[in-house]
Amino acid sequence: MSKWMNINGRRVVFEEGETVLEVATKAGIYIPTLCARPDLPSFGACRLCIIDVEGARTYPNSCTLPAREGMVVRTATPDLQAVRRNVFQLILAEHPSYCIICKEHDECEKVRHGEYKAGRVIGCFTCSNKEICEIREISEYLRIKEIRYPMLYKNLPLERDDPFLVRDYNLCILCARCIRACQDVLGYSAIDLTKRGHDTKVGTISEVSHLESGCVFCGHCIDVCPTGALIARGSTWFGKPDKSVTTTCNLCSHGCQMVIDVKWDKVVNVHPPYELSARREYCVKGRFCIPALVNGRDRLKYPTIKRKLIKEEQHPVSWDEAISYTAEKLKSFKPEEIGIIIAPSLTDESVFILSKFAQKVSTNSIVYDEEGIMSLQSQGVKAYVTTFNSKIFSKLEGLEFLVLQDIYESITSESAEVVLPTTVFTEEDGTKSGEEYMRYSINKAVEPPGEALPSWAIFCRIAQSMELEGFSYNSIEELKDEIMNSEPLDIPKISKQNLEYMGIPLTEKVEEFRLYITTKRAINQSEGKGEVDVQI
Amino acid sequence: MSKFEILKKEEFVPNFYKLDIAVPGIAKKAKAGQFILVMVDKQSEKIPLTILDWDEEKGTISFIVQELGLSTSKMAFMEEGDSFYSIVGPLGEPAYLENFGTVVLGGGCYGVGAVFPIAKGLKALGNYVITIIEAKNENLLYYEEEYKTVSDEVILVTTDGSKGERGHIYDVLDNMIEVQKRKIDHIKVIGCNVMMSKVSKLTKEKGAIPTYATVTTIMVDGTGMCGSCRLSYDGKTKFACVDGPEFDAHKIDWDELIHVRNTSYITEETLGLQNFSPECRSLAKYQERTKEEEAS
Amino acid sequence: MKSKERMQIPFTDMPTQPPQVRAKNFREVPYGYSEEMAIQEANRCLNCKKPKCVEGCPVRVPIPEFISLVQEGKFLEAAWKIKERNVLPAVCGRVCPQETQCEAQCIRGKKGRSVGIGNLERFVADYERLSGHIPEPIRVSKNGKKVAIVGSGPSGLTTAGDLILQGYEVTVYEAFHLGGGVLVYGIPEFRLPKSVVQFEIQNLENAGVKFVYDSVIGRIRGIDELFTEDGYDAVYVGVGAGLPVFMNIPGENLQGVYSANEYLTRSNLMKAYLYPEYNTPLLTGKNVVVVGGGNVAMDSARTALRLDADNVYIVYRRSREQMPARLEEVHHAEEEGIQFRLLSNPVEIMGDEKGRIESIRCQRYELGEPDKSGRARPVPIEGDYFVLNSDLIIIAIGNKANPLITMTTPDLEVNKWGNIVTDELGRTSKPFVYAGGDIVTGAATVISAMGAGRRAAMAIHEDLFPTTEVKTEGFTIPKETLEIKHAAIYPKTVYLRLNLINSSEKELDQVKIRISHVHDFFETTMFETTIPRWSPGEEHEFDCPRIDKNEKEYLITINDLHGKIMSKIIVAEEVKR
Repeated sequence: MSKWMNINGRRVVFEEGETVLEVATKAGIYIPTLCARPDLPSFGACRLCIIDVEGARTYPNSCTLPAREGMVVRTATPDLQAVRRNVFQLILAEHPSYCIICKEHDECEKVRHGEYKAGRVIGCFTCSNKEICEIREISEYLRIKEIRYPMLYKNLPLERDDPFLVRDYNLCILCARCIRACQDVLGYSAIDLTKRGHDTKVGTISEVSHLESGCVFCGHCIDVCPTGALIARGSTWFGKPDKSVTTTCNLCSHGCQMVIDVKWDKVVNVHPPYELSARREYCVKGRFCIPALVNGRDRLKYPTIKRKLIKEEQHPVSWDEAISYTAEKLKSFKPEEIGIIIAPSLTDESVFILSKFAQKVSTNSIVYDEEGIMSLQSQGVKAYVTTFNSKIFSKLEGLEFLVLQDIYESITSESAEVVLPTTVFTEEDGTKSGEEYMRYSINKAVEPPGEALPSWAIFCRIAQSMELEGFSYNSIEELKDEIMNSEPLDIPKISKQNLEYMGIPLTEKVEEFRLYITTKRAINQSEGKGEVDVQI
Repeated sequence: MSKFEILKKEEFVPNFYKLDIAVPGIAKKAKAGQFILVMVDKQSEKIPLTILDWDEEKGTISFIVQELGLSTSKMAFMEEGDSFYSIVGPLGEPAYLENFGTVVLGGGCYGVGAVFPIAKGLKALGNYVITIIEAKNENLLYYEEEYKTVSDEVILVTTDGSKGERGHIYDVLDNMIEVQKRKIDHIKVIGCNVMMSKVSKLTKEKGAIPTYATVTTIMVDGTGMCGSCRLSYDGKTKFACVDGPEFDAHKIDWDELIHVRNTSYITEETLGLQNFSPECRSLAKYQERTKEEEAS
Repeated sequence: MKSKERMQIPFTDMPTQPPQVRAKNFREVPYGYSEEMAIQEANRCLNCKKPKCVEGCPVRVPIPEFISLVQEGKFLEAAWKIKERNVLPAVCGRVCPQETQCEAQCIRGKKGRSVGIGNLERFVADYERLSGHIPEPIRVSKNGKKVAIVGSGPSGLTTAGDLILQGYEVTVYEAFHLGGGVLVYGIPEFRLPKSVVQFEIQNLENAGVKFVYDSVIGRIRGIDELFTEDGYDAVYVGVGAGLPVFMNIPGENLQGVYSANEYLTRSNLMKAYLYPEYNTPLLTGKNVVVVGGGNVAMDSARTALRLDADNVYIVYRRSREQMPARLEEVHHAEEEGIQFRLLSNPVEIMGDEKGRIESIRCQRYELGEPDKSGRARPVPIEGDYFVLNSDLIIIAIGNKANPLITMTTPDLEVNKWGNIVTDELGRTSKPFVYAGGDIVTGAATVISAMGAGRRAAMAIHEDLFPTTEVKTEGFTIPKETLEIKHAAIYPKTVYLRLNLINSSEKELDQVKIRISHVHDFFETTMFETTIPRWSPGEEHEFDCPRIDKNEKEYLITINDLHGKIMSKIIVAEEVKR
């Protein structure tokens, strides 16, 4: 038997244990709130979600009030709205909100196309959350035109000494969402309410840096913050994204679903999907390092071949030239002299094509590992085609021909004879086999830089140039069909601790990540943990 | 004292920094109203900043910078003892100063600082100087005390009325002209282009009181070579870096300046910030603390 | 090898990036010769007894000598041979229009291709740079004179290079943070890698030239202060023609309209093409219109193409044959896919409500009667317009003289276009101030600026160490009091600079200076002036125009306040033997 209650004159069904706020939200009835969120335990801090319950003497918080059979509730009576306005003005008085009440608000919007992008927030026009601000939404809903209380600017310093995070607690309204996300949902206690009374603020215990406080930089506090107090450095100031693409992280085989925010065809932010169910702990790599990895200016964009005039250098060439050059060269080697190295970070499609290619041209194909390559060397392999970048290639003896497929310039790319630019997982469609035989879909979010191609496309072209059968596909769908009907492949796995993507250590490409690692190591050592590596 | 070294840095209101820099050559030559072009590091762009003050003997200049983008953010991260990569100046024509009689100076935003040398110069020439300084809120007002030493009157105005008058510089000016019927011989304003355009419109309507505005434009070289800073002035194209930066406000095409010329690089700026990862100081602080602990 | 064999060797083309590949990167277009290629090309040179090629070179590089060294495989020696005459070989090898200079004179050009002199010059300079063998600079004893050079562009660098070899103390003042002037801010990386320019500047520094960056002469220092405060003996002004010309058509100030100067400066000097690693932003466009037909227009168009434009149009008023750009540049641009809209001229730029450009309207032209320059004059066709959709417009229709120096130095004579007036060796109307390059000629080429720099260096040396004899007689006060700092006869003036020695105890009042020439015992006064008060340490200059160039001797008389003759100086032009 379902249970019923009455909200704003409508009969609404509910289940035992639901709060009135949850029931109303499910029924599509808006109740303003700044502290409640479906994925967080109720707290009752902001007092905006108050409701008028028939028979009650006060206005209870709907976020903490369990729904009862036959309850009669009103959510927006004039009295309620008046109280709300009062409550909200008190919140605004301690949040830099002159822009909300400014007479020139509309005109200002026209002139200031968001040219303030740094420092402490001193008004909405300098706030990175301007276009996605819950406070502004509510002030519009409540039609706030003035603030009757003296405004107080807390004048707290900008906290930007930690990697990834910038915190401006002058904007904080003490809703405690971040603390609940950190403590109650994820089970850490990096942050808490510190100090008392008027000085109450969110912070780490004994005001140490976040790096020392046990923070794992999962970024969930940022995702739940209703103001611009918590922001991710490097992912901020973009405003509303042009599009958001849900895909699977390919940094390891864990299979985290992630939303990639795209603006101006650039990856600008990575965060978990909003829904409660998908919310699991993100690692710092996935949450913060992907934009820097994808958008790096020194990404390889065009194929190059190494030639010598006065000195040896990589010379840019067209794909046609690079492909036919590689094909011709490979043909001059015997199958047992060719080694094909598969990177663990490839999509299933690319692994399939590479394995198929390897079966036809070589007798040696391995998933990258250092010992494996050393043993290939001892078997007399002279030509390597690798999708994984490793310093080991520059040390190999008897190396005659090295084809490297990569995303960045490196020492290996300098020594390789042919360098082919490839895509990162945000730039291609495909499938990823994760742990426990789960298959996840990888969806393209942005265009690859320059002429970079996905691995499978590159190797299909090389194979075709070598006149091998079975490498012509009109679309990736055709390829997927073929994989479905083939024998299951042994898809390489990447452990969660692996810091490398296609052989590129993240610490090399993401400045802040490097700092994060060094600091964590320093802290571990000082705590007597010796040379332990950091759990990422 | 190395080249372009920061001798002193102070954040006196949120996001506003005053920097004292060692540049003897510029300190010797600077005049009120002139500016410098600054590059923070080798990768940095060149941005123009008005010279606030200079000390020929010490060989230093100071300027105020508001943190609002990539380059200014980099400056905010710099510390005393750090050095700039390049400072060129003094550039631009000095402000037009003489004994006008009663002069009203208006400064908003970064202009609150930029007006200072002009006030000083005008006061020395025997003018009756009225300075109006504007900010959004009480906590963003600065230099009140300093202005008292170089002005005969200082009027404060805030957008939200938290200190002084409520409103803007042009509201105060309007009141002075219309209600108080004060005789004003000359007006100079520095601040955001919107504020200056409104003052210009007002004073043009109220009997064309001579009004000079120091425009803010995007610049590259500061010597008239690129034309990035061009604006329409009296039907002609002028370059702010060599013909200005101070112009007769009534002859400037303000609409073009505000809506067209100055909004070019918003997208690029944001993407630039994405790649800006300043050397975080956590590690250094942590090491410092562990050292202290060890010592004690 | 016999001449006959040499004649049979075909021209060696430089390996070059294919057009479709290079249009997407900022790497240099030609890769340059390898050692074998260089020797093969050098072997085509017949080592003429009377080498015409040298005559075609504005700076007289010993071309046959360096080519013979290349033939022998002595590449470093070849580089040093060039450097005896040319301080910027790697630059000249790339940007000189050899086809109209040295190579145009080459005897082999009469039948088939000339020897690739430019290619070889470039090869040996690159070889030297990449080899890491840098010769010890020739240390010459200082001659005690100081010269300031304003602007570190091609002419300034040449002057500096020449003067340093003659023992001058040379300081180059540069407004930007990097030296090279137009070589760095104007010419794109794919035509002239910046590392090449920095290497040449480094070489000059090694030789003793001092570079002072971030200094805008005219602002931080005036020309006069360079003499009075810094004690320079001569100043060379090579500031280029940095004042962009706009078209004065509606919409020109819209967002997305650049002067070529700004576009190229952002991209080249400030390295905006490496944004965001370098912080200077640059708008990119999918449909780019470049207005103009010179080298700068080609550079802008090709830069835009490399910054991911889909379509790049060159809109030019005249016909292809009349384009001022180097043929090779036009050819390169065309290969890369730049589209030419010739005989057309923009009349209006249209924008959207946000002030961003959307399109450009152009009028078609046809060729009419020849004008003063002999080129057929383009005449607009009434009512014949077309519109190009465009999100980026670059105006490359030339540069005028930048007035910053001339405005702050009022006694520097300029013509009606604002260019400094000089004689053939670069002497300006102001004594000991010289000028050359685009500030004198208006926008021209790198090599002509270098030629002007070289000539000015000659003039400076001639003037500071003139072949003028100075005799003094009849001093009535101790000789140590008045010191002749400089006295000389120049083609147009007689010049005298006197100093009242610092150790003098009192000031002199009412000193009268008279310059006259004596002919058959008749003294004709040409110039007379009175210095009311002369304090110790103070210098005064006197500059008197010559009437008759045949006068070889001048008498300078100095009287004190009582009319008593203090001194008589005879300045005579030394008879050259």
